[in-house]
Order: sequence, then structure tokens, then C-alpha cells
Amino acid sequence: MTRLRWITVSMFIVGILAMGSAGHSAEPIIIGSVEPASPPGSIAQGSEATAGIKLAVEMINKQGGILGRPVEVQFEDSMGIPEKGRAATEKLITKSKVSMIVGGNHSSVCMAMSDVAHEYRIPYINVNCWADAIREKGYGEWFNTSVNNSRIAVGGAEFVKALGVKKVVVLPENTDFGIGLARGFKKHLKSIAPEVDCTDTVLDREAKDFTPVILGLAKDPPDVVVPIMDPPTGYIIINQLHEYGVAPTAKTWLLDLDALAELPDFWDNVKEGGKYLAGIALFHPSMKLTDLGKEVRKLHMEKTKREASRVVFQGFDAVWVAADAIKRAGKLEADAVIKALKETKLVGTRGTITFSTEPGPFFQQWVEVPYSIIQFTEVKQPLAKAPIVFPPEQATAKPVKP
Amino acid sequence: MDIFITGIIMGTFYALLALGLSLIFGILKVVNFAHGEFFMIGAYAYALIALRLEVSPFFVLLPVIVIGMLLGVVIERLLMRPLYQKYTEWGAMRDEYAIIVTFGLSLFLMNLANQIFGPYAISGPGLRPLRERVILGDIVTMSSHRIIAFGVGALILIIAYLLVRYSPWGKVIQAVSQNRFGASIAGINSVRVSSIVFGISGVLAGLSGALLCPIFSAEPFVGALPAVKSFVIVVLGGMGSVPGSIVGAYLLGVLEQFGAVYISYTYRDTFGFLILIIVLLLRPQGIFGEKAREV
Repeated sequence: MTRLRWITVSMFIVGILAMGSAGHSAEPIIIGSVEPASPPGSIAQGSEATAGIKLAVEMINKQGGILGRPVEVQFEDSMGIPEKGRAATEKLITKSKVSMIVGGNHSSVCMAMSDVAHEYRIPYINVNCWADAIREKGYGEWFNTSVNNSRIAVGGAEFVKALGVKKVVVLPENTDFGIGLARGFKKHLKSIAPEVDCTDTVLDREAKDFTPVILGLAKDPPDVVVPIMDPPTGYIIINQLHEYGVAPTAKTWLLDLDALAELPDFWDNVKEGGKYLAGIALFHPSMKLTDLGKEVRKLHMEKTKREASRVVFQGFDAVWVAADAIKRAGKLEADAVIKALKETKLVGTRGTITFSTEPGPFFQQWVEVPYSIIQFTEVKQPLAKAPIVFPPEQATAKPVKP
Repeated sequence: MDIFITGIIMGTFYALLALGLSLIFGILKVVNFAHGEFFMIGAYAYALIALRLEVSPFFVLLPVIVIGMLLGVVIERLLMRPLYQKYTEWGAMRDEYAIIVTFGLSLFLMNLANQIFGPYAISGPGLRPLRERVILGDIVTMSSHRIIAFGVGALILIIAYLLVRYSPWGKVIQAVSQNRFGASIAGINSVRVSSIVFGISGVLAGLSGALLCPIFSAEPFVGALPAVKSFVIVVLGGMGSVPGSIVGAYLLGVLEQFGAVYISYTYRDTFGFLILIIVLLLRPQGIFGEKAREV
């Protein structure tokens, strides 16, 4: 009897160990991610997106993974260069055999990557590429939890109209994002306020000295200057506008449409130049977050000791949506996942995410991405203390000039 | 007039950067591809010391000089010297090794800065607050920082030029630059001269980065574009020519500004290459360069 008992106990232990090891050795689901991690890409935004993606994976794995399998993310560097992004996407699909891809910063890179995703029919969730042109391609594999240019253009133009100004100068970077947003902004402004004279000067994203353009503005200051540039170039132009006394001043508003104000290095770079800057914010600490959003904000704060930016939430939401779609599809097969993505109705960090099917700039876009326009009234003012000045239903103060 | 003055100011910063590159080429016949990273380290040193220690930005220029000098000397000692010390005749050195070493060093320093300081940019305080402006009628409106930084840069440039041109050490540098082997026969320690030149180059590039840091922001890859411009200037002025790099820098600074205002801002950074092509077609050795002589 004793021997039989030992055999039974041993078999039980071996069985338990086998089950445990089977659970751990379940083949992981590999999701690919392409973000800029070297120049001339925006490494700051790439790092923020990566932080959000990693948080989501951590949370999903704690909850048991997807379809009983752990999730892993394989990261590739786009360097913010379209051909590098294209090669990275192709590598993830053909060599790493990823089931789907999340990521994307810099619209010109997403333009290139979307072609690859379409060619190989791999679902791709865009984290932070705003250009309408990517959506207008109508690729069924491409989904957008990121905001799009049209939404920001409308918000910015309506704010400018509310300011009641006459002359506006837009300074976009020479990318699909910058030029596309400037075009959309001008078009919408013309339709709602045809009396406003709005011109633009396209600037090089890799340049450092914008004096020739700023000297021209200093001679004949407009009522509003609207830079549309990713960091660090976005910071450089704000500093140089301040240095030459062009904006913000008693005469000229400064309106940033690149949501720079939310980024963790904003005040390390702009200092006095950021006082009285009004800017689009896709996340503001007073903004209503879902329970999931509050949890992500808390976890990010614990890990990094600083407030999450909107890019962290965007990165998180992209993976969260991907995981939900795979779960509902019940398999990794692309057609099934794409079908599930189209039917998404999921609570993300900042609201319930669904994808529009309307062709054009909102194709497979989460339309209701929340945004507001804030204004800093002090140097080094935390985002939480910056008043919201637009839209009127969210406003906590009126915009002010120096 | 303000366009011209802005061009002169930018030209001064370009000259600081290009002069170091030119000196290294003159002495070692090596193009230092890591020169932009000397600029980057100067910018970081300035921003971090000024912000963390909260000392006057003027005093921060001193540690920047020390850091630039040490960086140059250490790099020459560890990476460049092994390439040439065993060759008795300079012509025997394999230039391509030096190119690979400095190119690798550039990538290493950029990625090291990315790991240490993170991907986020940081801007240092101005020598005067950026909002403080100097207004001279309709002629010029500019921040006090830019004017003072120009003054400091011009002063350093003049001192560096006078030292290289007239001081005993400068004459030694010139001798090694003209004929390293001959200078060695005459008793000049060419190894030490190389070390000093690398140190001076580190100081000049570091100071250029520090003075521009409040306007450009320090980030791991900030040196890339200024370095490209200094390569253009060195070729434009004549490889290894000190007056050539200074004149080339001012020429580029001014022409860039005028081109951007009167032709197109979009093509601003291409004007330098356009000027370079024209000069090289008409005078292949550069403005102040000497024709290569085969003996």
C-alpha cells in the first residue's frame, strides 16, 4: 500500500508539473510594433507609445493572456523614416511572423507601412499618425485609435474663429502630417470664417534655425501663429518665436496644434516661451477617464513618477483593442481578426472605442477621440493646472494674452 | 541689415565648429565624423550643469571648456593614436581605419547619450533671458542672449586664430600640419601636437554647442546637422585651412540667411551644397586650399 501511495503521489506531482510547464510553454502570441527609436524620428513620442504598449501587454498577461497564450511584443525602429518603417514592417511580417502590428509615429512612415500591411493583409492599429491621407486609402487592414488631422483641424479652426482674429500664419513641418493638418486647418477656417487671411510657410523638420522666417513675422506680426511641428523642432520654433518677440505677445496668439504641451519634456525646453501658449491637448488631467484609464494613469505614475501623456494612452489603447479583437475572433487568422476589429465596441482608457466605416478621412477611425485646447498662464505650469479654454462646453477659463 | 547680422552671428557658431574640424584634418589628415557629438556633449554639459547646479550660465562655460578638452584628448589617446603611432611616415597610415573609427565613435556617443540622458530634449538657460531683446531702430531686433553668445563666440574664435597663427604652440601645429614627418625630424613631438589639436577641437565644438543650447536644445542627435554644415565649410574653405574655415563659415551663414529670405526657406539647407558645388567646379582645392603636389 505504501508503494502504491508513493506512486500515486509521484504521478500526481508529475501531472501538476506537466500541466504547469505546459501552461508556461504555451506559444506566445507575437504582436509587432514599429516606433521611432532613433533620429530623425521623434524618440520622445516613440518612447511614450512604447511605454503604453508595454503597460497593456503587462496587464493582459496578468489577466491570463489571450486565448490562454501569453502576449509578446517585438519592437522595431522606424527612425521616423518611411523606407525604414516599411522595411521594419516587412521584417515583422515575413521573418517574425507577427499576427498583427500596433504602432506608428510620423504620418509619412505610416503612409509607407500601411501599404505593406495592405499587401500582406496583416491588421495594423495606428497609435499616433494623424494624416487623413492614410485613412483615405481605404485599406481594410488599417485601424486608427490615434486622432486624425481632420478632427484637430476642425478644433483648431473653430478656436481661431472664436478668437475673432483677422490674420493667421501656419508653420507646418514638411511631412504628410504637417502639410496635411495645415491644409485641413486652412480649408475649415475658410469655410467657417472666410474673412480671415490665413497663409502658411512649410518648414524643414530637421532644421534648427528658423530666423529667416521669424524675422519676416516680426516685421509684420500676424494675429495668430500656428506651429505644427513634432519635437524637438516644435520646441525650437516656440523658443525662437519667443526670442524674437513674435508670439505669444499682446498682439499675437500662439496656438500649437501638435499637442506638445502634454509631453514630459515640454517645460524642460520651452521655459518662458511656453507662457500664454494655447495648444491642443488630447489628454488633460481634468479630462474624464474610464476606470481602465485611471488604472493606466496610476500604473504609469508608479513606474515613471510622472504623469502619462496622451501617447501613453494611445499606445495602451491600440494593444487593448488588438487583444480584444483576437479574443473575439478566437483565432489569429487575419480575416477573422479584421472582421472582429471592424465590430469593435470596447471601453478604452479615454472612452468607448468604435471604428467608423465612412470612407474618407474617418475610415476605420475612432471618431470621438476626446480633445481640448488648454492655455498655460505660468512658466512650468503643470498640465493639470492649465485652464481649458476651448471648446466652450469644457472651458474653465477664457484665453488670455500677455 | 538684420538678415546680414543674423547670418554673421550664425556664421560665428559655424566657424567655431568648423575650425576644430579643420585643425584635426590639417594635423592628422582625418575627417572626424564624431565632431557633431563634441557639439552635442557641450550642449548637454551646459544645460545640465546650469540647471542642476543652478549656477550662472557664464560660469558654466568654464566646465564646458574643460569637458571639451578632456573629451578631445581622451579620444585622441584611446582611439586615434593607435592608428598612427607605429607608422614612422605619415603617408603609411590607413585613412579608412580612421574614418571607420570616428564614424563608429559618432554612433556610439549618440546612443550612449540616448541611454544616459534619455530621448527627451533639454534646453539650457540663456546667457541672458531669451525674452530680453536688443532693439536698434529698424536695423536689428535680437535677443540679448544671441548677441552675447555671438560676442563670446567671436572672442574665442579670435583667440583661437591668434594662438594658432602666432603663438609658439601654434607654429608647432602649423609645422606638423605642413609636414608631420619633417616636423618630427626637427624634434617636434607630433604625437603631443595631435593630442592638443584634438583637445582644442573638443573645446571649440563644445562651446559652440553650449552657446547654441538655449536656442537649439540638447538631445542625443543635435550635432548631426551642424556637423554636416561644418564638413561643407571645411571643404569650401579648403581642407585644413584655418582662415578658409572661418571665411567659409561666414559665407555659408550669410548666404543661407539671404537665400532663405529672398529665394525659398524650404531650400535653405541646400544653399550650402549649391555654393560648395560652384566653388569646387571653379576652384577644386577650396577658397583658401592649396593644390595637391606630388613629389
